[in-house]
Amino acid sequence: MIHDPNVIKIVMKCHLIDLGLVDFLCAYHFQKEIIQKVLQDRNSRLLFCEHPAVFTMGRIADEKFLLADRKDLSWRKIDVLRIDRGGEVTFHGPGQIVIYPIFNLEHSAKDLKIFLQKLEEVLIDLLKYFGIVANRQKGYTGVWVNEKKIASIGIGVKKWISYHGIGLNVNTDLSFFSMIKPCGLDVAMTSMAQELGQAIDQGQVKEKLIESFIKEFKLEILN
Amino acid sequence: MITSDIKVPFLGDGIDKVTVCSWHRKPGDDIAQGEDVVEVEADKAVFNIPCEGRGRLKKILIREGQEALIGQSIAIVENI
Repeated sequence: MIHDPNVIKIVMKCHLIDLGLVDFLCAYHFQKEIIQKVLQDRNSRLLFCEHPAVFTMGRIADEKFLLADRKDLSWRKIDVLRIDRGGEVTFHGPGQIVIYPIFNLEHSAKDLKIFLQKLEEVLIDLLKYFGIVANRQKGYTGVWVNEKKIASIGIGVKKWISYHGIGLNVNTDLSFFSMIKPCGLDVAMTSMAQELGQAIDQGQVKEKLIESFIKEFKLEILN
Repeated sequence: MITSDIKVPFLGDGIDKVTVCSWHRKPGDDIAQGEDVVEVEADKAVFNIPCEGRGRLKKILIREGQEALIGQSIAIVENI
């Protein structure tokens, strides 16, 4: 766990919401609604979902890292969306668990570094449970297994409420990542299924993710 | 006319600069108290900076794509 004396130690009240398979923009607009609710009642929300295939680019992401031909993507009905998160281009698709922590960052001492490190720690803790040794790479936000990236992180923050979040490759078709330079890096991507040599029960992963979030962020689940 | 500055707030230990992504307002626009006026990016986070008081955006000091240090003034607001 991240131990920092400045981090507020009180529990953070949080609702869990599982959206299932949902279009990226629908989930985005839902996040915006949820931010307003968090601003009103100060209780955080932890959203889980999965998206149909889509590429997203951070606010100042470089187009050159999208290697695929846009006409080809259009023909395959795969959108490329520029959104208000940090980071370069990434892929979301079936088999990837997307986690949107709409969190009140007063509980992370209003420190983005602490918050991002805590998100990484949640994932490292989860992967350890499944027998996968994961780690950080200095200077590169995200979670890695050896030299391969297994989870990408990019967030937005509005009035110290976070949105956007994490894409964790569980059973993801990794061939989509060959159409981009993920996060602008010459990096190979991996998934839990690839590391373990078998398809993974995503429901079980979500259950364990919730446990890791409870531990790392001292969540009190409200529903 | 009394003016105040919009500054880049403290965002976390080890974050010493940001890149200005997008201004939501242009010079001459009225700004409500607490309204987000600019997005900046640091590391993998896009952060919305609000205007503390009510006012009118007088001058943008740091344009989109440029960098600013933590604590640096990035715009001037006329208080109204």
